[in-house]
Amino acid sequence: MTALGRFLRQPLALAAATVVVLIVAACLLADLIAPYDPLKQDLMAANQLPSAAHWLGADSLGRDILSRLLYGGRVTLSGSVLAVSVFTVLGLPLGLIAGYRRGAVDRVLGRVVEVIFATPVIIILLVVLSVFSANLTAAMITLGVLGFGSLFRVVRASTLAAAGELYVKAARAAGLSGPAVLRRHILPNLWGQVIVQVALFAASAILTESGLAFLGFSVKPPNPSWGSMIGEASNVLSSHPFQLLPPGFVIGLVVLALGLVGDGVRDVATSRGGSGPAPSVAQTAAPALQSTTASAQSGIGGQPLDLPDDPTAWADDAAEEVEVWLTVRDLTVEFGPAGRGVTVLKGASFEVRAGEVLGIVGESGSGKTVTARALIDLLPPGGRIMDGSIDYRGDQVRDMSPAQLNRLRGGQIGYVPQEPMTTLDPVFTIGSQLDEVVRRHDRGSRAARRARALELLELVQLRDPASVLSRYPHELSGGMAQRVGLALALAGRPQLLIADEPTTALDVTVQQQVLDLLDELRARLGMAVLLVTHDWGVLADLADRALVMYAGQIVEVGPTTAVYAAAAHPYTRALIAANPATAQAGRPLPSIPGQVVPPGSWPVGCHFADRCAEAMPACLAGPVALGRIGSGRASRCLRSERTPALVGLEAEPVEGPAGPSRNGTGPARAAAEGSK
Amino acid sequence: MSEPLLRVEGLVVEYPGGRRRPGLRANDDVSIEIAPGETLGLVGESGSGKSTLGDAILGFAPVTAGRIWFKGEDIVQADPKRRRQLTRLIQPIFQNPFGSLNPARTIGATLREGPLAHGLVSPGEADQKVAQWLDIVGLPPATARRYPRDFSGGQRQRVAIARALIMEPELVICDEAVSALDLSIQAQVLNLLSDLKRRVGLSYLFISHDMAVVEHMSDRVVVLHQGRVVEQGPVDEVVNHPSQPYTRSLLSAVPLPDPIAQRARRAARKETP
Ligand SMILES: Nc1ncnc2c1ncn2[C@@H]1O[C@H](COP(=O)(O)OP(=O)(O)OP(=O)(O)O)[C@@H](O)[C@H]1O
Ligand code: SF4
Ligand SMILES: [Mg+2]
Repeated sequence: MTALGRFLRQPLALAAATVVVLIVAACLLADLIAPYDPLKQDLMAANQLPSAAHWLGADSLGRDILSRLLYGGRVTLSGSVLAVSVFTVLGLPLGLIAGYRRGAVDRVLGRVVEVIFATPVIIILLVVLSVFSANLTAAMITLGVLGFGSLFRVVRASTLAAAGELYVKAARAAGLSGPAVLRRHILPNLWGQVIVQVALFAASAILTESGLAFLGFSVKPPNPSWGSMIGEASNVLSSHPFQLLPPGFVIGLVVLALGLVGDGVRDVATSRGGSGPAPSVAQTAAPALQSTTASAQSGIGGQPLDLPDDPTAWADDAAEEVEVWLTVRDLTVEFGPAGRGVTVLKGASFEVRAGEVLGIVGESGSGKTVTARALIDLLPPGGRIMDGSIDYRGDQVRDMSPAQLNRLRGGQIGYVPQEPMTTLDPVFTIGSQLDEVVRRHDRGSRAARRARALELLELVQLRDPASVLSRYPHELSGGMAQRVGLALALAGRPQLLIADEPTTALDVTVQQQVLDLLDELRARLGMAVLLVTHDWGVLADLADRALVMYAGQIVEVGPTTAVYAAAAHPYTRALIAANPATAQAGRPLPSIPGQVVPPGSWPVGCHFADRCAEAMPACLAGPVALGRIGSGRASRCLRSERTPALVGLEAEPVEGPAGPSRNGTGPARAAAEGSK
Repeated sequence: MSEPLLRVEGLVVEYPGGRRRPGLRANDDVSIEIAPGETLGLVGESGSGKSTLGDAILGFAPVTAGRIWFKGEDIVQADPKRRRQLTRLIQPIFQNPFGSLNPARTIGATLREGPLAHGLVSPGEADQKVAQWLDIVGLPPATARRYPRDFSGGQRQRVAIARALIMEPELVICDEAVSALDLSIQAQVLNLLSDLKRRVGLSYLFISHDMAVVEHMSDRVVVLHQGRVVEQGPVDEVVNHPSQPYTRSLLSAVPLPDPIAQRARRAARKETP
């Protein structure tokens, strides 16, 4: 929808804009529509209240108030139009220049505006009026000059921000001149704010003109303006109070309406995409596709066609020996308004075993974060669990009270969010944020809590923990913020740590340190780790078992070494092949055609079918279940059972006894060590 | 030896300090060369000055000292008009496919403006040229009438590639051009870049923090550390036999997408602290 369209859909702002337009039009057409000459006195009618002859009554000289309002509006409105023009002509271009050129130009203009802001407006206006003998034009030009600073500042700030956008850089590289860049790439993003400022300033100009007219500085009597009418009415206020009402009401109405128009434009300007985050994939889904698949998904008689996965399918052959801490069955998550929600995670079943690192890997939007956060009932707003069970060591997470959930989170289960920096509160020191968490778990003295906080920072190997305690979040590097995030998650001595992309924002060298730290912590504290990542190197580095996600489903599960050695699902295989690290030099990378189907457009059959090189008609016919393909391995593919590499793999089992132990020698490690 | 397409000599870029902030020397005595048709990879940690070097070549960073020769002409000293003519031949592709396209303009308008500004096409021919490049990067012609918000990251990056190449450049600065993309999409875009290089005869300055991507794309590599070149040479040599300790640590920090090899490496690292 266009910006104008969205503005028109706001009833209040639309009504306000209509009021302004009607009043302005009426004043312009005063010659045609005013019932009387505004100067014509009719002493018989003096001080009349509204009547059929004088709709708004007559003043003390018997002049028709409605006619005087219509003609008077011309003076008042043209005065403010003049002020607004000066305001815009100065504020907009100077703001653009200052924001775009920066440097000395910006500094000089900024200083000038500061000085103007510091001058007392009314005094200057009165001086101007006395010098130019009550000339309203001079006063209004002065008002525009004195006021333009507010527009200047807004425009400058937005231009500065827009000039840093990559698309502006690209336009400059394409050889566009400065004015062309400003006109095409910067101005269009600025209109909203300019209109808001103009509307607000117009309102204040009307008020100023009225004030000056009231003081007798505007038109020469007997000519009307809204302000002078107020002045005249106030002379007879005690005997005929009604006369104050019409001009007062019109001024109030126009000022209020301008304010509402400004608000409406502001709402439209801030809600619009601009340079903000991209719309979620769900929103960009092709509508045509959506309608066909939505009906297909609900199946016959509204029954879902998807079959729950058989949870025993991927059990290890020696399953009894494995201690399981977290069991997830058929977890389904939806986003959006109830009844019209979009499923983003469909029927996920998996478990986290004692002391293991389970890696969840998948592309952006595949549902990794949603899976991780659903486990501790920490979905972002709008998200909800529709189905499924989460069992943490015998307790049903979905049945827990908020208090129980709070104890679980940050207690037995620690969570490090995808971007720890954004979850740290910028106004508190690390020390006070850490103390808040520590206090929930250790009720000690202040000194004891501080010792615990220091101990946690040492645990995550931050150098000089005491100084880190006194720092604010913005004083941390990305790697330090990640370590602080870890320390916060470890405060409750969790047995299971959920780490969402713990190294994605970091440099490789810092990433290595954080991965080393995670590896060491889990060995030392005997924790299990649920590691969310999109990086197959990180997965290979730390995960004992891998869980591959695609378009809201788990498509493959297995020991990491086995998945890398012989991926079962065509998606996993294609993805490993597309990795430049493993590809053959000098050859085109084997890429996967097309792109991920967004939630809401998922087909009934295999979610990967439209990109799969091995798809066959049966793949589209109905839901594909996560099927067992070997000890501890499963794949959601109709062809997996026939993958030759797997047959070989099964004949020659890779795993020893499948019980992973707490010292970090899970089956994957055993295999790794065995092959050295 | 033939004349290099680009030669940077002793480049120093200093960002001016503020009232309390000292100035920052983001590039310090950097010298590199790119031959016609060559891809030069540029690696280093964040803050090592990779993007600054690209920006200096594009004219976005303040050059404090040093020379940048492009096709035998010094573009730092050139007058603004000549510089503009020369820099048409050097085009960027940026990292962020969401920020690099103006959300308020159609794809067609974005693609058209550069060639029109340089008089490469007449207004009448512009649409045809846009359609032709959309086709080359694998997007349907209707793309021109739509807005960036209608496209995925990979598709936007194709548009960004079309915007750079429609200028008929000889050197393209790819600053983390595929870093924001998922693996399956990244492979498509890398293939497109290699394919275009062959078809059009381009040179790339390929900036990335991802060693594997750089290794796949480049003929030679330059390693930057704190604004200085610490090592450069043919990609195989630098990757397989790095001569500098910094390069070695940078390379070994990248986890290998192979659990067995990676775990062996981790174990080895633990033994030699
Ligand atoms: N707050 C939200 N409102 C609406 N949809 C959402 C929200 N958060 C996530 N989604 C949708 O849920 C799906 C899964 O998202 P999720 O964040 O789990 O992906 P991810 O695999 O973690 O991706 P990334 O690698 O980008 O972090 C996506 O299609 C996303 O658009
Ligand atoms: S089920 Fe069919 S379409 Fe899906 S991955 Fe397997 S072979 Fe491909
Ligand atoms: Mg995520």
